Amino acid sequence: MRRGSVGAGLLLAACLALSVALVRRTDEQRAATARDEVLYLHSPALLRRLSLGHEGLVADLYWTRAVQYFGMRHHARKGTFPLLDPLLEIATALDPKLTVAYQFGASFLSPPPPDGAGQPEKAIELVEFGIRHNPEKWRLFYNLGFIYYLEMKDYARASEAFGRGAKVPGAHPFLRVLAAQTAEHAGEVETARLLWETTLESSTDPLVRENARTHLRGLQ
Amino acid sequence: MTVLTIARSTFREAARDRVLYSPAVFAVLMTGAAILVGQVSIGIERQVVINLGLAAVTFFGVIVAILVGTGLVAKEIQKRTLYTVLSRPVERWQFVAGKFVGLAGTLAINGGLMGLGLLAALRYVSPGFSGADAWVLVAVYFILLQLLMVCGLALLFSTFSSPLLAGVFSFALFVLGNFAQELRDVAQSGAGWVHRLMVGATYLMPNFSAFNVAAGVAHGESIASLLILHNSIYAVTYTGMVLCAAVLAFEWRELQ
Amino acid sequence: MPVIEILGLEKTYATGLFRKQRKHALHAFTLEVYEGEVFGFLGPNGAGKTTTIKLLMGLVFPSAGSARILGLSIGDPRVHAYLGFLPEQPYFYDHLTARELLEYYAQLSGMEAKGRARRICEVLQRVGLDGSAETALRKFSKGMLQRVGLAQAILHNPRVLFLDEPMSGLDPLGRRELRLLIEELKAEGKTVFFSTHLLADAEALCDRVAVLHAGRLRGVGAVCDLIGDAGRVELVWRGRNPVAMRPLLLETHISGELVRGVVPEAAQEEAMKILRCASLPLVSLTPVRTSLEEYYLRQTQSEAPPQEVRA
Repeated sequence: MRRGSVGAGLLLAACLALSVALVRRTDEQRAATARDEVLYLHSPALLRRLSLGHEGLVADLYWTRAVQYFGMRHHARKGTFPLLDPLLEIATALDPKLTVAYQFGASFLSPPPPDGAGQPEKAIELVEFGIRHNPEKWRLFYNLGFIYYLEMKDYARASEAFGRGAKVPGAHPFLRVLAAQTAEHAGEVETARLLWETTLESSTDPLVRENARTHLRGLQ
Repeated sequence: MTVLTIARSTFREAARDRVLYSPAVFAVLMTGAAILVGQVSIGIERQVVINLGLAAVTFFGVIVAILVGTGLVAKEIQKRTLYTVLSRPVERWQFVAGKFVGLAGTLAINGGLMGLGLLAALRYVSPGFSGADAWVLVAVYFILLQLLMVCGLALLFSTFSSPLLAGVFSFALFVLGNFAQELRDVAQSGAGWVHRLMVGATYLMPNFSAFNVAAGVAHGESIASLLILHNSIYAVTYTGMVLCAAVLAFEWRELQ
Repeated sequence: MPVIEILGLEKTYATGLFRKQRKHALHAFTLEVYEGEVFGFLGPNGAGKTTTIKLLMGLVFPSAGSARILGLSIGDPRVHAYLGFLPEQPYFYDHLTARELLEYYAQLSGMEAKGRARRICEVLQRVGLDGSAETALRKFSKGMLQRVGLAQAILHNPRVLFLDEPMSGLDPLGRRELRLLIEELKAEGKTVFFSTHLLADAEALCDRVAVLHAGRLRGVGAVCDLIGDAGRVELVWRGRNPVAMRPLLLETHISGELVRGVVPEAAQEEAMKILRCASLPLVSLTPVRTSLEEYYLRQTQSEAPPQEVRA
């Protein structure tokens, strides 16, 4: 009756161990060759239909993929991130309210390599798209101004972005100060310091705060 | 010997169930549709036929694997045909093994027929033998390996739950199997025992990421022989693991 | 040597939402069945007869106790080679024909390929299905399925047969044929263990019976002992019922000019004298015997509260 149980149990353990080993090997190989860096589906409209009404879930998956893609290539010091923009575009098109994708996505896209994709114009496009769908989020204006100021060195637009953000109800009072500061003291170290200090002060995310601290140390 | 007797009988039952043929016919129809689509879009006929054909083989294969896998075993328990089998010199593990071998044979023939249909369709859109056709066959072989794993899962679930639930569970695991790698990546990005538990759970799911070669094959890419070996071994060990679990569950199952 | 030995076999099921409550399907009991016996396992529906048989067949597992068949533990797969089992309301693969089904079972039983076909024909004939050998089982009636069930049970010439409610689903003719078949099997030296709630069959066929009620074994005994003398005599005479007779009578029944009266054995002589004095012709005199039914009712109702007040 249950005489076979011991044999089946042992065999089960052996098979489990072997299959885990094989899966780990696949994972390692994939990390080495980055074989799956192919985006099969480019069309958000098609993905929306395939998600059967759960586009939010699919958006989350694509956002996760974007983070992993950036993290993995950043870690491997690849320097280029060709799929980052399409992944972010799909994630945000599927779920335009996914504000985290604009904030972090922009900070992945805009800095020059190896810290980012060196595509500030794509980052601006992304954040502008986010602002159109989430005009009540003052932080997106802040992100936009930040990219104009630090990456594009376009101080007039930076000031304008901070100014637009300052008009959003509930916006951080510092946006008004930033708008004035960037207009009058463009290119000064003090302005940059102010920007990073605001970031440090207004964010709760530990990674963002750490990044701001690093930049502040660099400015000294 | 007993295992083979049960396997033969299982195969015969599946073959006499005409339900089994309809997906095969449907797959052929799908391939026909692919040919039509291929003629509409210029230049990528081959690609469309391969992509759509392999998708059809997977889709209908999974349906058959789950329907037959849960149906035949759970039905024997529900309708009590099992009583007169187990009152003979048949051990319970032999029953599980025999059922699986019979089902695997059914799936292999079913999938093989669909693969042949796909090759015929390819011949239609691009006359003359192409070396890349062999990779299409390998892709079909990978799908068959996936089907075997799903069928094992269906068998496992049907030893302790109703046919409907067993079907739902197996289908859920088939879907999860295609995401197992992503899920593990997410789980590994965190720390703590919850994440470790999640990582462990993804190892228990079937990991299909290395089996999905349809897109590459459609572009005429070759498949490394090491990958073929690797996937074959993984499919055998994973199926073995699931079948052992099924034997354990079945040995302790009381047949009310 | 006992063919079936049941030693304190017990079965409980966990029930309730959290599987905390335990329900006794079968209280521990001990029983022996000897070689060549036809043994009846009696009890109302839900008494635990099928549970016992399933325990012996290894389909469910005992909560306590053990059992042996032909000296082998019921957990030993070898024992199954010597068993034939007919489940209650059997159901078979309905895509097969009767012959295909028996062929499958013959292979599972490890019968040699040589002689298998002949044996299948023989068995089909024995249960009266030789005309329907090539018909798919889905077209079979309930009674025919019961016959297929019998055929598969005796197919591999087992030494011990377990038949769960073999009479159910059979018409009167089928029952008679089954009785003959069981008698033949007994003559061949096989041990037959069958459960039934039909007492007439048990009385006619069994050497010994056990009565099971609400999961408890209430009594075991040889049929001839259980249906012994009741200490009463039945007299039938023609004419009227004399006044002098009345105090002696336990039961009276008058139909036409025949009077049927039951008197205690001790009063037999006196009753005959009264009839002679009154010149009433005696038609018959027979000792009354308890039927298995009375024994069964005593065993199964002993715990039940009295249903009616005796006047």
